[in-house]
Amino acid sequence: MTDGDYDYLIKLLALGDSGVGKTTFLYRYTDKKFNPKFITTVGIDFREKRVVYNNTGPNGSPGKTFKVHLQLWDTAGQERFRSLTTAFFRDAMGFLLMFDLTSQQSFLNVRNWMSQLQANAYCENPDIVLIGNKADLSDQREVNERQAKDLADKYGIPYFETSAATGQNVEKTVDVLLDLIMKRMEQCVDKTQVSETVNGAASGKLDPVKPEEKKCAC
Amino acid sequence: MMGKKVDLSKLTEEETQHVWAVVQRDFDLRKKEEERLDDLKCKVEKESAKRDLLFNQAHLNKSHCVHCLQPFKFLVNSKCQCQVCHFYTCKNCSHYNKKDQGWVCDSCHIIRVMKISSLEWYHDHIRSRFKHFGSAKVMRSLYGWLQQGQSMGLNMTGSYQHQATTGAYNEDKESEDDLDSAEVQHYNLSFSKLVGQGKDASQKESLIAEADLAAMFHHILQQQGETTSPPGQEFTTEVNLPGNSNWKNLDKNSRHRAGSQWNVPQRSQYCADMDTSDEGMRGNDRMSVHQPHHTRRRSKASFQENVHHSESQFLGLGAHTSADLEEETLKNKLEELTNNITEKGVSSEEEEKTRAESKTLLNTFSDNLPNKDEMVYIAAAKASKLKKVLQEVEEHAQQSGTTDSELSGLEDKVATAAAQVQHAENEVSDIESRIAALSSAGLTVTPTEKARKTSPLKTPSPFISRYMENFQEVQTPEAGNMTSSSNEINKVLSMQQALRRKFNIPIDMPDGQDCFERNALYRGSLTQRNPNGKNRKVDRIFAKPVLTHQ
Repeated sequence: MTDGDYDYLIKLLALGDSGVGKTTFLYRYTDKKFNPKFITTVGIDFREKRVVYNNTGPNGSPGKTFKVHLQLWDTAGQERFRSLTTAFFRDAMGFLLMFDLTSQQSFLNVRNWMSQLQANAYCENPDIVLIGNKADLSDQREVNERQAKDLADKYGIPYFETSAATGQNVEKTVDVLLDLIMKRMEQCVDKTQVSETVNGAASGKLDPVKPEEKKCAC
Repeated sequence: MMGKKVDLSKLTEEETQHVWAVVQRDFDLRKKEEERLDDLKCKVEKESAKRDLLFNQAHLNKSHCVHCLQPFKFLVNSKCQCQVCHFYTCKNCSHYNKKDQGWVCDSCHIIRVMKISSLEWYHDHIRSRFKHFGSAKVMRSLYGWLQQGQSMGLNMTGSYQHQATTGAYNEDKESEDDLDSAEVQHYNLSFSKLVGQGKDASQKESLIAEADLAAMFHHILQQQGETTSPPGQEFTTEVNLPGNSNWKNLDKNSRHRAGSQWNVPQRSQYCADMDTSDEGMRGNDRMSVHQPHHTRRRSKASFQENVHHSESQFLGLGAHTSADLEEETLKNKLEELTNNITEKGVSSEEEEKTRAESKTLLNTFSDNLPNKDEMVYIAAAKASKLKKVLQEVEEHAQQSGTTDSELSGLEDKVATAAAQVQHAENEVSDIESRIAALSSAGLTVTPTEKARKTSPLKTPSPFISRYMENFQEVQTPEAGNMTSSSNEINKVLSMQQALRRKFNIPIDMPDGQDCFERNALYRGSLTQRNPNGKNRKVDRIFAKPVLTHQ
């Protein structure tokens, strides 16, 4: 599985309340299967998947393709694992912030998860997609799309309604997140190139504060 | 949230086992990724070495692909020019980039992939916010948890802490899956790097020895009482340690470095993540990269003192006593000396490559010197300069009031250095004869400045200089005798680099050639090719970066 034949290793992490479907979502994504049984995740886990990423140009023109190895962290939603799971936030470059469309409470908790992310991810504004899962259970729906969309807009992140049961939007959501991360990765490299040619001897790199300054405008 | 230990108290034994296994898997994945990046770096390095040979043969590139060296043919194998490096390649060795409407050759593509893959920006972020990456943090907590289970108790000695931060992982690895020692070593090096001193089966032994040392520190520090300014005193204590432990560490480090050249620079990123004692000790973290052998001891001692010292310790690092300073200068000089000699000490291994490289070297000279003999003159001048420095060092060594053990260590070095000066002189005559041979063979060279100015692949020198810089940080006479073949190549390359520098040949690197270096901590090398060094003369040889970032 993890032979070195890929271009980029990208690490994503799924988070959200217990039972919103993080594990089944990831299982659907990696194995294209649905497991309706609820088995609570013990603290932390991860899955891997190899995908091909199409680098689309600014005008949507097809660009180069890359082989991407994905490491998909699955976290426990349960409170008692909180200290453990949040420690792994920093190991991911992108986040699948998930709530259950059939649970208003899980949606309300999105705000808490956001602040957890801001405190524990690699930076304060990492790449995130908001996911309303269990879209297939329309009769039990408690969160309407408008509400969720507004919240996502407030944070400036994309929002998708998915179903691990049917597979609806599952791949698309991960692709969008992957695209955000790839863009950031490329921009950051281009940016360092520019800044380094500008200030020649960038020995200021030794300064631990400096990375903070150029933070995430990239 | 930040800085707190992971709370594992609510986990059952089974759950802990699971978490442990997951973290292990993550470490495996990290290791693979690191190896992959190393491979990429090697590829880039090889390609740039190849191109370096072609700089002076640009007419060749007009008719042959720089990548696969196939001749261009009208219609059948038409050429295209890479947007980035401006070399010509055949279309098979390039991609058409629709976004930028131009061709990019495979090499430049790989370089870019590597730069992006190295995720330097991401690691910068992590470093600025946290001490460890997530699974490392959890691993440490788990280890502490397991230790408590085994009633290691509250008596957290320095070495225990040390184990928990670094060695721990290896130890467990060892006992659990019985990995071979090379494997363990790899882990050791990649995740603790400079701290990792378990080189062989005697790892545990050395850990025990370290515990003794640590205990001794503790004792001495207690004797010195609660008086303020522990940093300086600590340092003194450490220098007076019996058994030349510092030298030993130097040797070990240099041996490792000499062996795995490329792994060295970017590994230290993990060092910054892992090689630390406790949350909140940023200072040590940083310093450990610059002064590995010292800081390790220091940090150990500080565990016992307690964590509060760590910050003042960092500040106090500059406050060496004068004897310390003198020793430092001596060491630096010796390191420079050995390094300079190493640059010249090309053994006959890898004959062909050496020959090829020296050809380039000579080409460079014939491009830029009216008279090849001047090179001999300069080499000779260098040798005599080395002699002079050697004398100075000897004088210093006699004057300095260091301990006997330190002195004998220095004397050894001086002796070896003297031998190597001799060797360098031999080299000079060797170079002379080579020049004679080459000129009698009627080597013709058409220098083309155009290719030289535009290619980002122009020279592997940034890598090499960075490598050399690392290398010389722990340079010892023993390391000078290393004959690993890749090492030889590097030596030659770096010699070339040094000579170019000497003759003010412009080597300004375009486009942040070093971006893919994950290790921002060795950025000191940028000073080497700082464009403001226009008036660098021969004395630049001794202005090593090791001085600039200490």
